Amino acid sequence: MELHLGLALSSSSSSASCSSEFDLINSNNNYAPESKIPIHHLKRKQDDDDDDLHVLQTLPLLVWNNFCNKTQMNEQLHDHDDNDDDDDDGEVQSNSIFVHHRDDGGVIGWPPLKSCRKKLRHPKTSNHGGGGGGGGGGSKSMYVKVHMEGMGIARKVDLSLHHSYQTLVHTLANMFGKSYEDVKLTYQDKEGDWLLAGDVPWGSFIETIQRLKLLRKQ
Amino acid sequence: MGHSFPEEVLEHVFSFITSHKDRNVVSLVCKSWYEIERWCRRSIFIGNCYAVSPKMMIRRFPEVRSVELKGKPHFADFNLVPDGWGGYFYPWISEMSRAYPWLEEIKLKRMVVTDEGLELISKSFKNFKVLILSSCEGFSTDGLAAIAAHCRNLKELDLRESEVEDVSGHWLSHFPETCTSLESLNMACLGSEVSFSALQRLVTRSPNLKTLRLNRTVPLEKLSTLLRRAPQLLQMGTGAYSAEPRSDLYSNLLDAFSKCKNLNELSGFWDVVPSYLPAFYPVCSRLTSLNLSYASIQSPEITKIVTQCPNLQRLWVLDYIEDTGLNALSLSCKELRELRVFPSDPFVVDANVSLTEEGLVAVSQGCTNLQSVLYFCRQMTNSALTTIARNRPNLTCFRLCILEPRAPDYLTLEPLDTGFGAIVEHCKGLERLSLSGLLTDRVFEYIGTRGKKLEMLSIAFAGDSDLGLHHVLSGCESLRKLEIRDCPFGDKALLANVSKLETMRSLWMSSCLVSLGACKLLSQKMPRLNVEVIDERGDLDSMPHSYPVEKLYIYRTVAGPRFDMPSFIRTMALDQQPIRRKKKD
Repeated sequence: MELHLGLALSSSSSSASCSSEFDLINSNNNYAPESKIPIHHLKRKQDDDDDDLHVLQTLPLLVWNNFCNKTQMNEQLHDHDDNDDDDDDGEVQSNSIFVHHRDDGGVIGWPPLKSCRKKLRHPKTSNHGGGGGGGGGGSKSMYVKVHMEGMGIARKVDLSLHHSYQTLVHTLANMFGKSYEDVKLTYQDKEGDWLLAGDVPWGSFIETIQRLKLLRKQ
Repeated sequence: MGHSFPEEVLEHVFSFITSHKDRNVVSLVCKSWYEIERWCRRSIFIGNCYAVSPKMMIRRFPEVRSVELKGKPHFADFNLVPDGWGGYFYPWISEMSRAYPWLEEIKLKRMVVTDEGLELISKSFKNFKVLILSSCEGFSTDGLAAIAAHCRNLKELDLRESEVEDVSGHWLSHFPETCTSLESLNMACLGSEVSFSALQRLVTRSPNLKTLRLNRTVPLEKLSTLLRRAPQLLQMGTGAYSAEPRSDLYSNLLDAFSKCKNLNELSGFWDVVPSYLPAFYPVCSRLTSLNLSYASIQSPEITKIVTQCPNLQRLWVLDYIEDTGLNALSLSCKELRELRVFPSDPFVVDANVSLTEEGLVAVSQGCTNLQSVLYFCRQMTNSALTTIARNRPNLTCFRLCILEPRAPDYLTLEPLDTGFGAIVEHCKGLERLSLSGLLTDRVFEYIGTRGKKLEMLSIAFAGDSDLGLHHVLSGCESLRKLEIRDCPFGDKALLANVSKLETMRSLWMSSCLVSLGACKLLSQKMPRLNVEVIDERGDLDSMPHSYPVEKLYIYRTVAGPRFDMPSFIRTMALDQQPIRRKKKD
């Protein structure tokens, strides 16, 4: 019953509603005996002078014993279900600030497929000539790797967002904190040759490009 | 007991113990066993390259012949780990090149391998035999050329799913004409053309070649040429399986396949032109493994193939197989152990094929040896999952991906808790589980209490609160790897189960509700854990304790904090500026 009240009081999220039961209390019997933590871990405490925490002499760092009653939690869940699938849930909302969307509206890393499987149908869909049948259009975005000369970390750029060399060079220069006047753009084609970008029409460039590299102008 | 045997006897006995787990147990018996064991350990597996340092490995195991190392977290496969995260091979090879002159095998997964690293391999070990680079990156065909040129006894070169910079297709010609030791070559991941004449010569002079996996640029005409040169092959990966319809080409190919009497595994099949498929029918009856997951062919064609493969144990395929094809599979392939069905159109919500829960139910009914499933689909029900679980209690790996996040049982609109609950209840030996669909905390209660053998668990868009994660961490006694994305799990569950984290290899959490303060606390109290916060958004130092971290990777280590972190990672252990990685070109 107490638990129920605790939940009812909460307005923001279920995790907040549990905090009253969730004290940072120091009680040895909460330490699981089967824990494999070596003893010496348990002994280093009083020297640490962290305000809230020096009371913790045991692991776990928080105790779970009085955590929210499960059935209450589920009741609460069903309420949310009735309203909406997820967006109504305060937690999911606060959570969603992280959800990274792709340019086509999907979520990064979902569905969980390796990039070699995603690339599969991009380049060749037009070449199938009916053999592939329902291959579908594939996703519209077209990511390629970009290196900047002298930098260890590569980036990726979606070429489908660009329609000319000019916007691409500007975007890339910006990405690496350079001015577009200080860099020149090179790319590797399907044959593996490195070429200076700009010599072929944009459409042919898009068809043959494997990766990009920005060089510093001497 | 130990002292009653001479060392040599124990050493000989230990040499029969090949499992890493058992060797570890042996070394814990007593000091003398520990000493004997470490001197005769020839093979090492390190599941996280930051859990131990190369120096520590070498100090304890001075006589190693084979090293297997893993780098980045598994979610790196799905682009969730930023470029530049780490997992560098160079620190390892630079130490090993000095300490292990007799090293024969290196197997790497998700590591950054540079050409310098490959060159060092090629020059340091006189009897080097096996190089497997699985989902690795950072190197080019120049590095491969060095391996080819200098590893005179090379048996196996496997680049499976690595991202190789193609500088030149001529690296194959660096294998010296005297090199005849090759048994396995996998270059399916290479993007650009290889020199065919060099490849053909290499294949011709390698009498022991058992595995050859070509890349997409090798045309179908060349396939029959290569098969005729190497009829002893066991495993073949084709290149592009397409050509203009030509009867001579077809009959050549048919003839070449017919002469391969030992072939039991086929893969490749890019850009398939269906009229050429019957050319490999002669080998179907022997096939134990077939990878059609790059083949955009339709259900009738796939069905025709699988019905001719009674000995098939492993099938990877696109969802073009559809329910009808899976039905045929369940009737024809009674030896099937592993089934993976990938989506042909993963980013479209509406179904482009008729592949439902029913196909998987059929396979679970007909294929009684089925142990491992990876299944991408668009709809699922609790009753289907329960049937699958009852049909196949022998499942050890069950990975289900319903493409739309948080999709409920489409018939009842209920969460899929009871369905997945049935999987963990009936499949007592389940070691790996991936969840998807609408799931509440209840499913984690089932998993925590029933998943006794579960070693790896992947969770996405699931659960309601900390309670879900708490169930997993306080149960699942065999859990080693846990990866979570987009779940409302936060500090309480994590901090209440810190001792569990030291028993696990790693925990990944991204887009969850863990606060910066909890990460700091965790790392202060658990010095053997590296708590790494990955945040590309801003300056973590100025953030309040309540700030929810973007990505969190926690792993146990005996090596302390790592020294190669990029600026977007903070280890919570020390309040110091991160040491930037050395700049490389």
